[in-house]
Amino acid sequence: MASNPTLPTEVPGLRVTNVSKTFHGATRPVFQNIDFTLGRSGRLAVLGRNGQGKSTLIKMLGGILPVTEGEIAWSMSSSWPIGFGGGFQGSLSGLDNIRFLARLYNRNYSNTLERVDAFAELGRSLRLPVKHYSSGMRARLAFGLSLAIEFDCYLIDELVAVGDARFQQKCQDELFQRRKNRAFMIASHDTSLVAHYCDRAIIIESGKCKIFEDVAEAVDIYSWLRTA
Amino acid sequence: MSGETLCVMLVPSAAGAAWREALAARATDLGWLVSDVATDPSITPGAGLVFADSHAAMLAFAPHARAVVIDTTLDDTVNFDLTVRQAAIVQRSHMLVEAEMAAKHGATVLLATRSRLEFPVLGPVERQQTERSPNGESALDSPLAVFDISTSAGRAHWHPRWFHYPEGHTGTVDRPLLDLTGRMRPVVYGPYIRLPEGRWRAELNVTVDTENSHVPLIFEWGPGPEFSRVVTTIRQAGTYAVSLEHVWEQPDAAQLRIWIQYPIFQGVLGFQGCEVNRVETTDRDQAAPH
Repeated sequence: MASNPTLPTEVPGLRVTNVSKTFHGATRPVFQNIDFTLGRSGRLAVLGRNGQGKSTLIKMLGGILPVTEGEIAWSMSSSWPIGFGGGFQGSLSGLDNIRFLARLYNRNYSNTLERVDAFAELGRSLRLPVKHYSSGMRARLAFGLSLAIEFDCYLIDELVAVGDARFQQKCQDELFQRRKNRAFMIASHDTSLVAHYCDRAIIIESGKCKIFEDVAEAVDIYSWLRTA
Repeated sequence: MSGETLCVMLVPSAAGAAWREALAARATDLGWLVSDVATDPSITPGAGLVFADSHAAMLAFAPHARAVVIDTTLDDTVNFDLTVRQAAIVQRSHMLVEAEMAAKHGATVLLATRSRLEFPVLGPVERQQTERSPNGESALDSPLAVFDISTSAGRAHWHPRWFHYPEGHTGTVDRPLLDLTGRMRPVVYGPYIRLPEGRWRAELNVTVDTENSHVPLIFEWGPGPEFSRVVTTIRQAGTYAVSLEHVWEQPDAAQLRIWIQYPIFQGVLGFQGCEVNRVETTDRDQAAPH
């Protein structure tokens, strides 16, 4: 059953208050009055059919899109939306992008490079301009960087879209096993992944957003929405 | 001891104790013994005035020596606790079913609300006045009015307060509103009032706010595990009338249930209770299209 989104016993690392989004020129909002909190080890799924605004919400939380109304207040560090292809300077090489982000987040470059390369397995391709990367290579670089820099909360937009099956498993191990005490929000169509790893879920549908404390219930509802 | 006998079933009511006293006093005046099947199951006909609590216990007496005193109001349910009142209604419906069965087998039916009644064999008996409970309902408002032989002829309104809402409700007790978000589940059920055998119809109006979606509902009406069912998907917000009929092969608790057919994201149901009425075969035949 949809319920009050506030967890009284936990100081939230993220508080979303009355957030609405309407794109420029659009007559109807993508969604309205979203309210929820996320604890510092909360695992929140974002479910919704195509076009309902899952990725928009993740991008707003990642600071890539502005909110139209309301407030997003972070009190923990958050990643950029993983699975999202943007964020790199295309004319720079992978190495230069790593150097840039290491400096931006005040991390040691050599250490960061070592960790990114170990995870992304891009090897000599890191010397090529990122604009020549395939979408899978960009995703590996983005995911590797987010893991190397380390965040309190990971924003994931459709994990299954990143790389091949072996790489997806690697991503899941890194995120859900090695960082099991971190917070994350994952927008996904993969109901088994959501049911396995998340402890709450949001469904966005027809401009409305409801939060469910029972993930299995949310998955049931979402599964029926998909077939409707 | 005159050898004459009368078996009386008193359905619990505000006047029940007064009738019991008056009947016992009258029988004693006539020199009859007074006994109760509940405390002495071995009582046999010819034992004077006998109080019984079931149709089966009355069968041992001649039809002309049987009387039931019924009350379909809730005047004596002075407890304001809803759960207690619900339980009292269900228990009373059991007795009213017994009384109706006794009436079918020849027992004289008398109304407890009157202060003077003409009993078979025993003659006229007058009871002492009793005070009406402030929360008592009129005979027509009572969910037990289906048993009323004097006014509504087998019809009653079952108010929303007599039903159960497993997840609670918003709105008011007269117009509960139910958030349908969630899994397949019953959102309204009850009230388990016992009905006699026969064909019974439940007519209800519900308001549905689909919230620009669709609301798949199942309406069920019947006793025990047997139900008549309407399965529908509502796509437009509005007020909808639903009518269900079911044949009770034997007396049993009536259940009206409203289910969500499969998990849904949104929707609000407004429930207004239901009208219950006994359907005579001839009524149904007339209503059938030709």
